[in-house]
Amino acid sequence: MEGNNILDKERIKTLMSFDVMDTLPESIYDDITSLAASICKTPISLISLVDNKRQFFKSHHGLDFNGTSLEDSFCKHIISNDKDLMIVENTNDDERFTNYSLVKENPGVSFYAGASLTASNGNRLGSLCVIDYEARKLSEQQINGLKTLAKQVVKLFELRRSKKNEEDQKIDLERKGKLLENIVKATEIGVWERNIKEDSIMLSDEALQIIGLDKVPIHHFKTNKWLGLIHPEDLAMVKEQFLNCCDYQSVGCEIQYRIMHKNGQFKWVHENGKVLSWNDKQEPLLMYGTLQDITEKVHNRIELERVKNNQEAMINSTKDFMWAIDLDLKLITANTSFHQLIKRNLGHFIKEGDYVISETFNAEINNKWKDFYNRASTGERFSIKHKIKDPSKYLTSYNQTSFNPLYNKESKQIGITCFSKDITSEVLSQQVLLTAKEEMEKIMNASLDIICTIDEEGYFLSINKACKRIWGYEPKDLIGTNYKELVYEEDIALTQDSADSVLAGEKVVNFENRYLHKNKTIVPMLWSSNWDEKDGVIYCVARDITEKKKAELQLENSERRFRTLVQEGSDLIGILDKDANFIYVSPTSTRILNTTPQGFIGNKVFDFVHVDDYEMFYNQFQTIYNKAQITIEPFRFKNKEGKLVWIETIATNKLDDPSINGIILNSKDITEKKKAAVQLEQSEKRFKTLVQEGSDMICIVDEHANFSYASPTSTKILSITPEEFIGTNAFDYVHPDDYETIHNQFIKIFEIPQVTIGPFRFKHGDGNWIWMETIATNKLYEPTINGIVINSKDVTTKVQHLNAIEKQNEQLKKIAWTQSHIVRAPVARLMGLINLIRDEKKNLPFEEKQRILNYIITSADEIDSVIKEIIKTTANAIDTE
Amino acid sequence: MIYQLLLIEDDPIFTFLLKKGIEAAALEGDIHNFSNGLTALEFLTKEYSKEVNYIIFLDLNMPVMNGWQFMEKFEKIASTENCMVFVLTSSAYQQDIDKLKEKPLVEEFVTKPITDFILKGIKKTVVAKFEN
Repeated sequence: MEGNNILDKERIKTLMSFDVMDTLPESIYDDITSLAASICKTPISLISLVDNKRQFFKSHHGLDFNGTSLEDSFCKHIISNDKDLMIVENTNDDERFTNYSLVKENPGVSFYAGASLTASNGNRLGSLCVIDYEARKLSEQQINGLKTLAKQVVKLFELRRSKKNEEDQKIDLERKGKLLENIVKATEIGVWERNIKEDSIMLSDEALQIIGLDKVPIHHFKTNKWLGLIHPEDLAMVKEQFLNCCDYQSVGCEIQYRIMHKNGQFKWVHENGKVLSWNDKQEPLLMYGTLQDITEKVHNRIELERVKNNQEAMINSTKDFMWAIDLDLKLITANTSFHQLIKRNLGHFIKEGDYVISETFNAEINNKWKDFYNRASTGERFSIKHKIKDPSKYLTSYNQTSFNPLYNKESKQIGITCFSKDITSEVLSQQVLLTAKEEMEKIMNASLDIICTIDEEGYFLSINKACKRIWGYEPKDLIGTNYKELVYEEDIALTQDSADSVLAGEKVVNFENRYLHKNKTIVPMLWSSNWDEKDGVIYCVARDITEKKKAELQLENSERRFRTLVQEGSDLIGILDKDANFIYVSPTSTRILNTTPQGFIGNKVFDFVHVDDYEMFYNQFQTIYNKAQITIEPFRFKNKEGKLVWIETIATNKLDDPSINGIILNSKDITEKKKAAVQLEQSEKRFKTLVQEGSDMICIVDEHANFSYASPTSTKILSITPEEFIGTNAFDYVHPDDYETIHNQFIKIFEIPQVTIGPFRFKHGDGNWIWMETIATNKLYEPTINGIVINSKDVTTKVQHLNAIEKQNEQLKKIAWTQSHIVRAPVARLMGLINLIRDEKKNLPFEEKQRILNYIITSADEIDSVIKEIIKTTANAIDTE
Repeated sequence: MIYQLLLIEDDPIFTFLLKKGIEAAALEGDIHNFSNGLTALEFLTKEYSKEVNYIIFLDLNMPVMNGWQFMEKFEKIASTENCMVFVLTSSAYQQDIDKLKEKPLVEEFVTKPITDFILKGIKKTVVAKFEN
């Protein structure tokens, strides 16, 4: 195919092997083109070489450029058409070329004749061609001349190529020679040659340098001189080796020995010697060898050995175990400790190459180790902790063993190295630490106070179990929670301030705040906290001070009461002399009694007492002369306008107190109180009537349902007196079948203020069950009651009515069922039978008709008896109630 | 196709009427009578074959073993592939009927008396199921 062989890689390779493309013009080729032009009588002749893109003119006679693109190439046709010769007598007549720029334009080619330049392997490289501006023909002689010249061109190319190869080879040889020389120089290997017959040794410069000798004439350097330089300790060995080497057909010898340097020091040398030629008697004639200074190497080796010995001593003196095994679990090497361990466990030593697992040993332990070794065989690196028991000493020690793969130079795993060290003391101290931690935990968990750690941001890091009792949360609920979530809202800011001062390094003790229990009640807490800079935590101890707070509150109340008594208790203070005449009255008398103090002074106290109370007052007052203090019962005091005021008085005898010399009357207006007391008495009376006479029974129970009060109506309703109830548990009276339901209803009282319970069966005093319904009201937090108020009612009649209604319903259902089913069945049968008779298409035989008639009668009878039955059942149902 | 028609009914008059109706509707197959669920179940336990199509007319109120008890047992051995149950009721509590309606074997509820017209409808159902 046209073009294909232009691009043929083989052809291009051949063309390139001549190394002629893009070379400068050469006279020998120019001579050929000039000759070709003159033979063919053309103005132009070219040597054109075609590669895959263009044609290059090695010589261009009569044309002033040295190549064109492939498009304008004539020669390419010689290659693509695989022709030895191509002649185009008139290019203008050949449509292949009419569009060529060389034809159309400058130089206006009209004639072309080319002979193929064919290499010896058959590849066409291009052509030797002649070109004219006019169309013309070539004679046979001219054509032959062109062909011959083309062959000549190829020959020149081939000559050029072989010449170039020779040059390359020469350069290569020179390079290699130099390289060898350099190597010898670089390695500083000396060379010697020894003539045994003449007893002379010739040394190369390098060899002479090793022993520090100047160049000496051959005959001056004899064997004895050489031997004289050798270290006395090595001499015998060298001589022996030398003799061995001189035995016929020895392969040579290789020895290392010390030889004296010119400076008097011995050098280590490595010598390689070989006999080069022998005589007919098999005696050595000529020896040849190399000499190498290995002093440094030997010193290194000695040093290496020293280091190795030290290391080995170290490895073998340690109590740690070191061993290496191959992948078949056979011992590669081990240190002394390991060997002793094996001896101790097995009773004998094992050798290198022995199987490390002994079948006589404990199978369980063996399997364990096999597993470890197998894991390590896969290249895994790991370490384990294990116990070692020394049966001879009854000792248990702990070891940590690490397993590492052992690789050869090719990084292939060939075994396992194991290193085991005693970690008994670490394990023991860890155990001690654990025990200490456990003890600490025990203490923490036994503590009634909360012990906790909190981080800088206020999150609980740890907390003991006391939090469950005090706050209702489990420790796990709290860890990770911020304490602020638990602090009672009003106390958060205060707590934050306190926490800030703790974080500032201040030791805070007795800080009080309030926490919210899980059940939303408030728990007052007392805190001691300390910031630990090192651990970055706050250590806190907190105590539930609910009881303390209660006590404080009570104290406060009693204090207030006391204050009240002293400060406000006495509205009026008066002082009497020993004859009960007023000597002083406080100004409050004006407000309270409408009488100025002057109105009292000098008058007897008895004059102001209401006539009905006079006797009582007089009698009680007389006792003051024998006592330090008396309380006089309320009496009515008469003021100026005759209005009565109730007065309560404490009289204190201070007749002997020189600063007073009288009886102090601390009096109080209790008119309002007196009125209220009367009202209370009346309402109590009313309430009592209600409680005692009502049909309801009112009781008070504590949170465990123990009776603390029962109304007197209990006797009437249950034949059980209030006294019998008190101290007993309400549930003891409840019917066992109702117990669970009632109990569940009852406990709701702790969540909602009032619950309705029942109806349930309650044991009557006479042993029968009665039905009760109860309303329970939570008054646990009302100080006057402090319990749950139970208002119960006997609903036995109501329940019995309900039961009766249910029973009746049952009865009615039965009737309905009978009506719908039992009645319906015979009716359905009748309907079916009638259908059968009515169907005229069915010509029924006589017997069949007879049978149907019987069926009809049976069904009718059945309906009759069913209806009778219904009447009976209905009557029964109605009778029931 | 082999058909077996099982009439499980304790009332002989209903059985008589049912047979007449089956004749009139030309519902084909061998007819077997059972006076309660137990005898029917014994028969089925012994003879049951997948090759046979069973059309069962089942009364609910029967002595020894009633319709509900029968269905409990029967559904353990039967498949809807070849069995159809038509429940006959004169009347019953709705919840008892509902209990049966959930069972896949139960095809239809028929209120007594069972008429030719109803049986023709049943035949259509049977043919639609087994003949296609």
